[in-house]
Amino acid sequence: MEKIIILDFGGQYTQLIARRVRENHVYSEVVPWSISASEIAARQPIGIILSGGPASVCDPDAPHCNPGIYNLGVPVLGICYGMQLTAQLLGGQVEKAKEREYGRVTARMKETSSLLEGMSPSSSCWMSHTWQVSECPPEFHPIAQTDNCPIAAMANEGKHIYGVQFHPEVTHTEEGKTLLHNFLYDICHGHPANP
Amino acid sequence: MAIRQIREEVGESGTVLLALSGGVDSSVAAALIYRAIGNRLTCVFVDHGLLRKGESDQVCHVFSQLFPVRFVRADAAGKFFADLKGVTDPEEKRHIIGRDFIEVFREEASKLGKLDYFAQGTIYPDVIESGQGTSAAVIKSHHNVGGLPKELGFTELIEPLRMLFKDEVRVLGEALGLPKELVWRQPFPGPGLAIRVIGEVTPEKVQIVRDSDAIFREEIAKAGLERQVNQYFTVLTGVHSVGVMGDERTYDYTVALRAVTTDDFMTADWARLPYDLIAAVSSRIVNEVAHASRVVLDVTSKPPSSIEWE
Repeated sequence: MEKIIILDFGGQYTQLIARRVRENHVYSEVVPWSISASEIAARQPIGIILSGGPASVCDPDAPHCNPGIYNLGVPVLGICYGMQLTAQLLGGQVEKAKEREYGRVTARMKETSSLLEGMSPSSSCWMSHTWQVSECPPEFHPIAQTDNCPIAAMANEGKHIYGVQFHPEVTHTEEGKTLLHNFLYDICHGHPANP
Repeated sequence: MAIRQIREEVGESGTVLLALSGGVDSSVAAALIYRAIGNRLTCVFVDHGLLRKGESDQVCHVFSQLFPVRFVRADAAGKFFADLKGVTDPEEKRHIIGRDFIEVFREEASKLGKLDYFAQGTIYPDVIESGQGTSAAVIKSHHNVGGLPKELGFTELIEPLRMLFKDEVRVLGEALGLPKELVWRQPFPGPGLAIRVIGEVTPEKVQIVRDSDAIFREEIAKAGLERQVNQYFTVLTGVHSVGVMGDERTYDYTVALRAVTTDDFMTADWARLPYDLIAAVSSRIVNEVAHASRVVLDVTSKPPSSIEWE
């Protein structure tokens, strides 16, 4: 059975991510963030999603997933903390935002990306963060921004690794469904399971 | 797929014990296991006398007619009410009800002879929250809270719903042929109506809250708002107030209406019910329910209030 593996970093919306994926007729499982890359590979997911979480990636005790997950040849989508962790593990920079964003924020799509296909150039998104990616890792480029967050989403189209600072899984992110659908079907090439 | 897995695990002759609460999860688990192994499933239903109107009879009907499992009903209302006498603290009420439930269940289970497996309706959020979000197996050695299965001598648990979210459990329940009104029930607390009676719980007070709750639910259904309003019920406040009924002075109970809209039950807003609906509910409650003489509406959100009063 095709499945998406969701690494849980303790975010309050982790279960919501799993539900949204299943609502799209792709099976999903939530696993602890500490799972090894080989354990993930053994489950043969078609994609991996990294959840949000309360920690700061700059904290020495912050939960770090195994960096091997980025080399499995499986698409990865990092959400909030998951995006920041991806940036840090792959050589980008994360720093404290000058102004933290909490609640509804307008994101402007900067570049075409398979992740943002079909979304409006300017879209209402739900944010909840104090830290943010200040510099993309090599081979990544910013694909969305807000007034206070120059890198609100980033992409490495070649390796199919993506990050979004906003939360596509909550209903307040108006086009979050489109984004998740793009990830599941255009990027991970899922096939809808029998409903 | 789950049905086949249950058959493989339980084998040709294995027997299973399940505690029915009357809620959605244990009912769906029971129906699913019944489909797999028929009446090698024994269900024990502890009726604490604190369920909503008609629910207890519905559970009995479903599991004796539609899914004829080996069904044991323990009518324990007398014990629960006796133990709740004089108790007003909500936490103490919860504790007593939880303890009595286990006592009654254990007593019934001990009369049944040796059964092989213990089944329960654990769902995916319970699994994730307990930090066990790892295995897709239907069968797990048990991690049950309270250690009841272990105490009863069971070493293996069957949890056929452990990879499903609530919405998926409801869809499965419908597909299995459980009645819609059972499958789409709103959330209901384990201690039942006991925590919707403020102060001491007595059979008379539970009757008032049960009857008024049934009226509220009927009227919401009549207005077609069952899916828009996510949770709604009545509370028997501890407040008495003066009234006049047919030229006679009364001094009876105040019933509160609580109705909320919410996506996830973590936060909730009070439902803006139509005035005409509120009027109809209020009028029916004071006319049809003995000892209810005033109806008030709860207009607080969560936070700061919780959805339930206790």
